[in-house]
Amino acid sequence: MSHATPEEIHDHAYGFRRSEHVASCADCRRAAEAVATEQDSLKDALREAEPEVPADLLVRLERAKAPGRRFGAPALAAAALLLTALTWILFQPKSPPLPPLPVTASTPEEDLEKLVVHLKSPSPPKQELARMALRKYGGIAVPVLLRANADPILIDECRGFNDADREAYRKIQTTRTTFLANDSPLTAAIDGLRESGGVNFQIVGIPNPENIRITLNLGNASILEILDRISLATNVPWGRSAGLNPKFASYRPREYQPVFYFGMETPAPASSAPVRVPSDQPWIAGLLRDPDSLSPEEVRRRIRNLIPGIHDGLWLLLDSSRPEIRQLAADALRQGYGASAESDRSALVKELDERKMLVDKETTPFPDILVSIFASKGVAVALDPRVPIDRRPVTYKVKDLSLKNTLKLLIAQESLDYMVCDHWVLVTTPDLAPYRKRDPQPLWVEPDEAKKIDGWIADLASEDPSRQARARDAARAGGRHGLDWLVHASTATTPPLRDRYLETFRSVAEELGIRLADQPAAAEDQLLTPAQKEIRSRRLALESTDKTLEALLKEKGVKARFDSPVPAPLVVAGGDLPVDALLRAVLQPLGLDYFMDGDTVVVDTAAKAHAAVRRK
Amino acid sequence: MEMALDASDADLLRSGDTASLVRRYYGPVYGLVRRLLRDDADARDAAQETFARAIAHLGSYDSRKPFRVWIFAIAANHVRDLLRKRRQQPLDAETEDQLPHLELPEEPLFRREDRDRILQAIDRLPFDWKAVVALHFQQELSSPEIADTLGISVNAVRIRLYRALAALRKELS
Repeated sequence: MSHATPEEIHDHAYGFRRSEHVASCADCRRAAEAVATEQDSLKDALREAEPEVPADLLVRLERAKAPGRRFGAPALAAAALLLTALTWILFQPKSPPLPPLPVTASTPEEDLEKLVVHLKSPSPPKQELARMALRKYGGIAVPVLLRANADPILIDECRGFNDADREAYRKIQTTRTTFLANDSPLTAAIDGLRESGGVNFQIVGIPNPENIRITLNLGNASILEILDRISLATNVPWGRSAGLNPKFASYRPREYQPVFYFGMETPAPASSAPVRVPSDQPWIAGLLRDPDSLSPEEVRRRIRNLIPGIHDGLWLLLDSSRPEIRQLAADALRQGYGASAESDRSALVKELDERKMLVDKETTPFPDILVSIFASKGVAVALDPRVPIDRRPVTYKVKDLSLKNTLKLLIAQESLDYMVCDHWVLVTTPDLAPYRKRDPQPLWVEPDEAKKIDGWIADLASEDPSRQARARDAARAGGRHGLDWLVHASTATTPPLRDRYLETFRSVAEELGIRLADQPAAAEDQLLTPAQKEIRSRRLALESTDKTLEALLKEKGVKARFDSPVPAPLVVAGGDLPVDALLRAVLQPLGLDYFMDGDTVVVDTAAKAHAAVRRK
Repeated sequence: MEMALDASDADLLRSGDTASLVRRYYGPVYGLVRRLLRDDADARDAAQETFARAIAHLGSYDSRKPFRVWIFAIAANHVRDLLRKRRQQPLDAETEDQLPHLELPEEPLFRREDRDRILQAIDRLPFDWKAVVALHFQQELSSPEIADTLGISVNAVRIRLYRALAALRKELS
């Protein structure tokens, strides 16, 4: 007996052509039922909760409707349409013509000019935000501010001088003294100024300063004048320290004291500029032209999306008639131009910062010291298995240092660094460290660097293959810094452009052999039984300076099969590390991964592990 | 056979109660454009644009067709135009006069727990196939209704549907 063809079975199952044979033949009916089950799965997959109609849509549509509209003959429909248009025009609120939409990002120079305009705005919030932004730019803002006769305190702040610096400078301007030097050594002269002025002086960069002789007699002169005269006489410059680097605005040295240097000029102030990402997505225009048509949640979401690129449109939104939009825009600008947002401190980071350590080790191998520091603590450590283990004995003693600084000091001696992962601290080299994607936030770099990156981002966004290739080459040459701006561009754009940046990011990372941090294991994609989940989440107390992974797992009663071997001895310690975290910590640096097969952990290459999971 | 107008839609249209019509169809329209555009914000804009156009052109609506067919057609055309402008490929599938080679699955390849993978695989389909998949499985339109929505023949709906199925089975196997 011949059966229905696959085509006939599909036509029957999908209702294109009913088949009597399929309906009556058990085998064919079963096949049709399998196809129908597939249909149900696809329907289930595509079923989603339907959102509520946005209230502003109904309002807009009501405004667009003419009253008494009827449907029917084309003439009536045309008349109704005309009435609708007239109604809409008549009842739109009158407002001044909108300024042109800012669709491309300003250059730093353009932005600085705009900020100076905002500085003179009658709006206090705009003034405050402009000051913050200018301080963030730092030294590069100084010439623009000088031309605009801006507040000298703001200019000083852009130069990096804080209140203590200003006070010290005021002191040397106003403190007057008599200076007498008769073939005196420079060191004695500076000592004298230090005593009479009550400010810090240091001689730097001058070999044998005591051999420089000065003869100078000044009566009732300010210290500033005396410094200038000494500089002139000796041909040695002098300068000021700066207590506040605008680049790191959130960091203030706790007991900073201004210093006047004899021997070097005041260092050029630090400058930075944001990497801007041009974006002319329709949703930005929608937000800027007609925010009233959007729900509050949508406005909030779109404004948040403007923060990484510090889009010029945020300043436009400060003039919104809606106070909540003005507040959101102000907060967004504060985030863009203010100090970098402190990321949430996880429990692990808190432990590193707050736990105090006492270490007293003599002639002990480095791995043993590392393990002893972390053993039985709530924080785990793992040495990257690719890092050669140096077992030469060292002496290491610290007292009352935080766990973080204890670790940093120890590993610095081995030219190593560390990275906080979700359950453990990974000790590795800067080159081998996995790359962690930055959160969506503005990217501030040196101004010249920002210009180049702006260009590369625009190149990659273009449709010109040669420009795209140029951008990819630049990203590759930039290494991790290249990855930074690719991620930044992706956080400030939407698909399909975002996909292009992310795809370039992934391919450049792969070409450079840079592993990505925080990657889940292949087992994460499996549908695990409760028993398998328990095995993965089981917490282990670990101490090893030379055991293999196989031996460690066996010791802890975890069944494992190694389809790819991991022969390297492990340096790992900690009181509370889940099995999944241990496996990721050890396997991912080696390009390996794991999945669950029954109650057994199977270790293999990452590609094979993922393929095995897909087959399951 | 002429398709009859859904009675309750007709009542709403006659009484000019466009707000209720919008409430009834906003979810399905949003779901369709969301599936085609893969982005929430774009989908919201596209859904709004669809209804704005529908209200503006209600005079041209042919009451012999179900309202849902008409509104989905507006949505699908709008998304297609949008993707064309962005040059987001692939839009058009290959020549559509041939059925793909169909096989009978020994066991269902699409399992409910594979939802994310299924959705990702659907997202990767060319627009023409994806539209048919969304209208059939998501909006549960009949083949003649899909044909009307997309302005193609029922056989073209059949071919696109089967090509999509074959592609999904290949990707998810």
